[in-house]
Amino acid sequence: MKILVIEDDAETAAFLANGLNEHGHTVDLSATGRDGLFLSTSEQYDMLIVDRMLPELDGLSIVRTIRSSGVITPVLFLTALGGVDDRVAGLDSGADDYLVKPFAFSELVARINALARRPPIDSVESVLRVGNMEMDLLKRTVTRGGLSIILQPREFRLLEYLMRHSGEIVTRTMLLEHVWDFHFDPRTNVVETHVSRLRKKVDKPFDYSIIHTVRGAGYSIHE
Amino acid sequence: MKLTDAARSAPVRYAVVLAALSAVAMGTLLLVIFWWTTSLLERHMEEVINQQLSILKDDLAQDGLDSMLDLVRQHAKNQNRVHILVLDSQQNFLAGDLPLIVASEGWQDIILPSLPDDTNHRPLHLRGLGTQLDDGLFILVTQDTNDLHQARRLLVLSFGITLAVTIALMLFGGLAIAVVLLRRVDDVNNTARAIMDGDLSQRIQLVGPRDELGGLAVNLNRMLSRIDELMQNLRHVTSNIAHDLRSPLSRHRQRLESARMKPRSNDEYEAAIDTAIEDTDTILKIFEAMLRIAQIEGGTPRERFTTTNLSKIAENVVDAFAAVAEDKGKSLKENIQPNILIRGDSELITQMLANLVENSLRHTPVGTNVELRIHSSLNKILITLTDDGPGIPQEEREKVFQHFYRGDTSRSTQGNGIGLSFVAAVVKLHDASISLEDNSPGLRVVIESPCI
Repeated sequence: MKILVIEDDAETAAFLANGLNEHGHTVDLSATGRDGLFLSTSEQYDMLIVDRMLPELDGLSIVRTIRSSGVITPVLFLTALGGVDDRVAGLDSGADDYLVKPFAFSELVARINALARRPPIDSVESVLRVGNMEMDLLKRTVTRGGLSIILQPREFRLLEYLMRHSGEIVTRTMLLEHVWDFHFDPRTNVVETHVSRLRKKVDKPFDYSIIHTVRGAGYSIHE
Repeated sequence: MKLTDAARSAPVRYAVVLAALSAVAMGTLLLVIFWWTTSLLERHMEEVINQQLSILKDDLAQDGLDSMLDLVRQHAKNQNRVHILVLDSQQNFLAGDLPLIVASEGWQDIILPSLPDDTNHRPLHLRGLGTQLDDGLFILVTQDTNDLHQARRLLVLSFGITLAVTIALMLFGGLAIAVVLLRRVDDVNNTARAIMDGDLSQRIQLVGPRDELGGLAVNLNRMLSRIDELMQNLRHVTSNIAHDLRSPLSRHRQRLESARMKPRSNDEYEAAIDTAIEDTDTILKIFEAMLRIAQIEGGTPRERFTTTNLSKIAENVVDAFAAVAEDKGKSLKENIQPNILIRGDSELITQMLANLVENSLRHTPVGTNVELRIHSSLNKILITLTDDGPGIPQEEREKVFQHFYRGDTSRSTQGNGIGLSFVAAVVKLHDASISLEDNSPGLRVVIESPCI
């Protein structure tokens, strides 16, 4: 992927560039808001990573401007502004995701992958498939190898989110945000508990597991 | 109080202005009285003169000139205030007790050195009416105005005294009030000074009646208590931050140092780095939690408030943590009246309920039953979280809402003591109240919020 990073802190920018390069991405850097806006509208990128507090032009204005000029490139805010209302303001401006500094690099990569592979319109799919498991989104049923699996509504949402991102790493935070609408880090292992219950139903009765734990990062569902 | 202070003091100035105003009012009143009285006296005198004149004229018309002159002479013998002079057409003296003077017709004021038969030689002030009769006869009837002048002098004197006494009284009264007021204001000032010198425990003494100044003192005292509380909180937090961050930081440092002590395998280094990252995350989490509380306490914008379905939020939280509770060998149940609406920030309310639930799950032994109840009555919404665990001793209940407070019993358990102060901050932001009660056995947390 070709990624534009608009970040004024040189060290963070270098850290991002190195890390993303190692994950096989091409990275352009711009240190001011004005340069960033220019690059993002003149070049073709697969993803924008934007800081909010930038010299010359702030991140919110950049995103608003490019969105109003019809650019639909996924945008991820990466910022130290972590207040409750800051995130809402960021998403309202047209960004697709919001990650607060300091962040774990694995979290950033997981979110970038999730954004990049997001299907254009979610509702197109009515059946999700991973290996021999099938989820019918209209009938709200799950089968694996022809056997029906009964899930609680919450377990269904959890599995749906994992399956929509099959093959990718999904972090705890992403699950908390999208499955429970929790925008904070609980001190108890909510995610672990629910994933382990889901596994009992989805993996345990079968000969191989499809929900995998990625150490230090999160979970991934694949054959 | 020094004189220069007095000039600058507001009550003193008000007293002086009031005294001046009342002096003007009093002076006007006295002037009006003076004018009325003297004009009344003058009119009365003129009436007497007119009366005398018409008596003389009547006598002249009825009994002739000689009779009238007799009357005048007879009158002159009696000592009285009316003095008469009668002249013929050649200005010759005919009768009377006045010396021959130039007199004209009409009203006039006359000053004589003294009367011809007066041995005291005192000057005489007269007011008189001169009349020229048809046959050339001239009659001047006058009255001594000494009495009138005397009356005027007396009036002026008494008015002067009255005015002086009034001004003095107003000034003294005003100053006395000013002094009383200033003394009370000085109390406030002295307390303020003591506080500025660093003694925040000082409070303004409430002397005198419960009037506006009393009310001001009460409010100032309340403000001081709030400041004191905030300061203590700040001190408490600062020292706790130092304590609570120092232990994970020093642990962090030790681990890094011991990883560095001798050559290790790559796997060992990796493990050491992972631990170091985890330690850093823990420290960052503490910072983030503190920042969040600070933001909420600093008044997170209430324009983010929307009408939120509290019941749905609570059901979501219970749904998330029921499994966690079960895994820990406890139970989390709900008793939630559906579709209770509340005006607030749904994210903060979610986190608040999560914190409360997590708190009781963490600090209770295996086998504890926790229940989240939400009900609304006529004008309030009650959020109740009960458990049948060991509870919190009465004397510790208030303290648990302070930043970083951890009961002695929970010192050993994990946690940073920030959860409940977050809860308290969110409760306050939503104009609700929170209390901890004895559930005998266990703890009951009650949040009471006004209905929308």
